[in-house]
Amino acid sequence: MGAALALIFFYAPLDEDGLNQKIFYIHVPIAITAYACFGWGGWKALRHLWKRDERADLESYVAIHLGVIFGVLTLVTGSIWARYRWGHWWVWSEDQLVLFLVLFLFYCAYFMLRYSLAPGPQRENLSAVYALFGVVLIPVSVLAIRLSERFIHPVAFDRGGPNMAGSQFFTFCVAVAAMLALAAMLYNLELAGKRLDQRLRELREALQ
Amino acid sequence: MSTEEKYVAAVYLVVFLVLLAYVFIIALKLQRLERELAELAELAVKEREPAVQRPVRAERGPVEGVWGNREVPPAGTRSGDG
Repeated sequence: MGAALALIFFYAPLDEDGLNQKIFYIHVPIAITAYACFGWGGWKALRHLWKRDERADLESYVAIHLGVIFGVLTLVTGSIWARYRWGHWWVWSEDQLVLFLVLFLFYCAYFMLRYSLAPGPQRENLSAVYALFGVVLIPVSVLAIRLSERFIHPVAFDRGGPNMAGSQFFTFCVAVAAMLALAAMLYNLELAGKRLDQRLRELREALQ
Repeated sequence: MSTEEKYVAAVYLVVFLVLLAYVFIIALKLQRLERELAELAELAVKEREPAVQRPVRAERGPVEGVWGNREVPPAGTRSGDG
């Protein structure tokens, strides 16, 4: 993460967007990480339903929880960027923004569903099915920028490759790798805490 | 500081603060788990103490009373134990 920050502020050149372009190096990797977390949560949900992997339900939950946190960061950082660039905190006519918000709210509702049911196989199965439905929204949200007719949102990548200099692309790749590594670390940390909590509860029940 | 710099600083600050809050919450949770673990360890020691003493009593050999001069049968074999 330190290397990514050093590259962002001391190596990557400024373009016509000015200093505001530095937001791109953190906003886009955070959005990619949010998608990755939701995707990972969906994959674990599939494993839970398919292989009946007992650990997969908790792993799916933790991945989606982290995805929601990165989703909040995506919306907040994007809004700050939009406020400077467009003069508005939010533009409802922009498909990419609205679809990301839909995806984010969909996964927020995951927690409402999960905690409205008593712990057990029913809750695990319903949560897994819901998480899998959300995965369908991920490619729609990613491709929304291509489907958008207005193209207000900047296009960093098109069919010809990245629309940026080599040094900028390198910095961007390092930032994405750093953000994914940070998310993986937080995922393992939260998962270890949840598993420890579960085992302690079992131990308490066994002792009492 | 220009307006542009303020926006960039705000973005990085928000990300830093949110991640810091997340790590802080996880740290608080781990502290709670550590306390619970200590309580359970204490409980386990208390549970174990009588279990350690039980075989010592059984090894005393013949005792007077209900069982007369016979050997005290091992725990669990007497009527009413189960």
